[in-house]
Amino acid sequence: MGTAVRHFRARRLGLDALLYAILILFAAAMLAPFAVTLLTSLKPKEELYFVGINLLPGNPRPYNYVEAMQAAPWGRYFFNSTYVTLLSVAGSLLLNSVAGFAFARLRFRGRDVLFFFMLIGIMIPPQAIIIPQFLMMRYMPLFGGNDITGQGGIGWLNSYWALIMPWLAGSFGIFLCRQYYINFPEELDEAARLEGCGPLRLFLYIYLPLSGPVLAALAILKTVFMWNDFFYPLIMTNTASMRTVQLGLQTFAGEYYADWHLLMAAALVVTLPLVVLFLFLQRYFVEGIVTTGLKG
Amino acid sequence: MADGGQRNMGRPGGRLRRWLGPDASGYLLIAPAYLIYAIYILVPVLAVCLLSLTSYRLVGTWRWVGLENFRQLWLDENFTMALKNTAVYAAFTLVPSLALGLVLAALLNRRIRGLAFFRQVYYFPNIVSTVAAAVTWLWILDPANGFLNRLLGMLGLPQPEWLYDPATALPALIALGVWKSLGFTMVIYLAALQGIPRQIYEAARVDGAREIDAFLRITIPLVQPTTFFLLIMGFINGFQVFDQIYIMTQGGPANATTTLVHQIYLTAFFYHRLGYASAISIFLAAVVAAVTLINFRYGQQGKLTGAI
Repeated sequence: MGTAVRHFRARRLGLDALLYAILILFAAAMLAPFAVTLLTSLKPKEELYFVGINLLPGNPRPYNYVEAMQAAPWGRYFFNSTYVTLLSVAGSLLLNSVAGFAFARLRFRGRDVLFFFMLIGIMIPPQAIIIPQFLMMRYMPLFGGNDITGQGGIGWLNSYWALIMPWLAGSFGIFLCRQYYINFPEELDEAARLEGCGPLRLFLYIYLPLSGPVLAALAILKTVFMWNDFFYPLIMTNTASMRTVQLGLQTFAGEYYADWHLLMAAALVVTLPLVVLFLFLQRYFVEGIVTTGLKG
Repeated sequence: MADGGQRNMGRPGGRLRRWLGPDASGYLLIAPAYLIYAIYILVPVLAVCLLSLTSYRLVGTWRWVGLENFRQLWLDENFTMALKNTAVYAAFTLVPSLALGLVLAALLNRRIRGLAFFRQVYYFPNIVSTVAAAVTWLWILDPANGFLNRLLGMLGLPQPEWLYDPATALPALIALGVWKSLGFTMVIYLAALQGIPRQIYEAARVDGAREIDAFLRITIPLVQPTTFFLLIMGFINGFQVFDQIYIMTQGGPANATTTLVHQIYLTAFFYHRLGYASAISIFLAAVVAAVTLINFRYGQQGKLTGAI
């Protein structure tokens, strides 16, 4: 073996070591907040104020988790978040895929105009229309103590109606499905039509069974969005019984602002469902993000 | 459609189908999703435009004020401060997130061991809710007992008051933003890099180019469409920042971290000036919509831009 080759190998090894050092350093920086959270959640309260860096809990106290969960109606919060997330994901999958299919594969008058108006929904940030949405829910006739003119009560505010209805379908989901279905070959539709298959059956028996990837991406983006959303439920609810987990965590942080050990435990518990989902469905997470190029 | 009129007459909904004509199937299939969209998104878009022209408050009388609310915006120090903070937040979150994201993606795109592990770790902060991240960082940034100042103290460095000091509050929130978004930019960049043929790099190496040259002259120009796309997405996300502001600083100290969405929230739901808050909403929507249109027009990355 020549000196040049040996020299090259050594240099190559040095470069690799440097490469891994950089990658590991960044991984440590990204994970540090998780580590601090986990380790703090296991400390007895007095250890929070020990001087020095004291990262590790001297006397680990898993009971913090029990205490944190008993200090607020977390069961209720988790139920609300799960209920709202499941229903809106189910609605999105069903309604957006059918509509996306119709926009992609069927011809009807006004289709392109309707589609154009649908794109407005992609351009408008949700916070910019929260005021009329709030008023709409507040004055919903015949609900929440309102009369037929929408006066006298709180309408849909502080109810599952307000938390779920607007999220059952949306322009992003319709758009995503339409872009997926538009790439299918024309012959598929022709063959089905010759067999006497109407549009709905064409969708149910031919397109839907081939929709796995797009529906997986939509389901994951929607689940993460609904579970993590804070602004919308903040505006639409005002009692503990209607809070989602994110609202619950925020109010908990307000009430227990000095009890960092309990707060960190609660923050981890709230995050856990998505972490589990991520670890199991990682492939779809990354693929969904790369193909759609959008966050939920 | 093969199954128009005649065949449907016996079925339920046949009369509706006949009334809608040969296009019935299309209308019926988009109807449920489109109605929900029209009621909960389109109508509010129109309504917020109208509301912005009024002095509407939740209680009491109101009147049409024309463009008065928009004229007020530029005299309102809270608004101009919020606009400045939001722009600074968006820009200074974007630049490090894109730069580090590209470098990390380039390092990961070298057939290294543990690619899946590193990608997973970098992406992790992105799935944490902003609320949970905010609560965690509130503790890390705690001036007296937080991890960061303990670490700085150990290294003999100055320990700022972070969120309690107008000079460091916004930078601290920006750091949180970079931490949360870095994995996203890295994943998108990595996908783009994996689409570049390796032969290009091999040809460059044969021609005597160093790795750094290849990165500057090949990688950066070739991922330019991705960079453009990430700039747009980052800008849009940055302009909507609210959760961490609400939880960590409430816009303070001394308005140093108030943002556009925070001003919409305060003005509408704390001061009940819904007309004026609608004007701020229109401003926010106009900025975001303009940026999205630029992407529709000039962007190449992603299917979102492809069809339009």
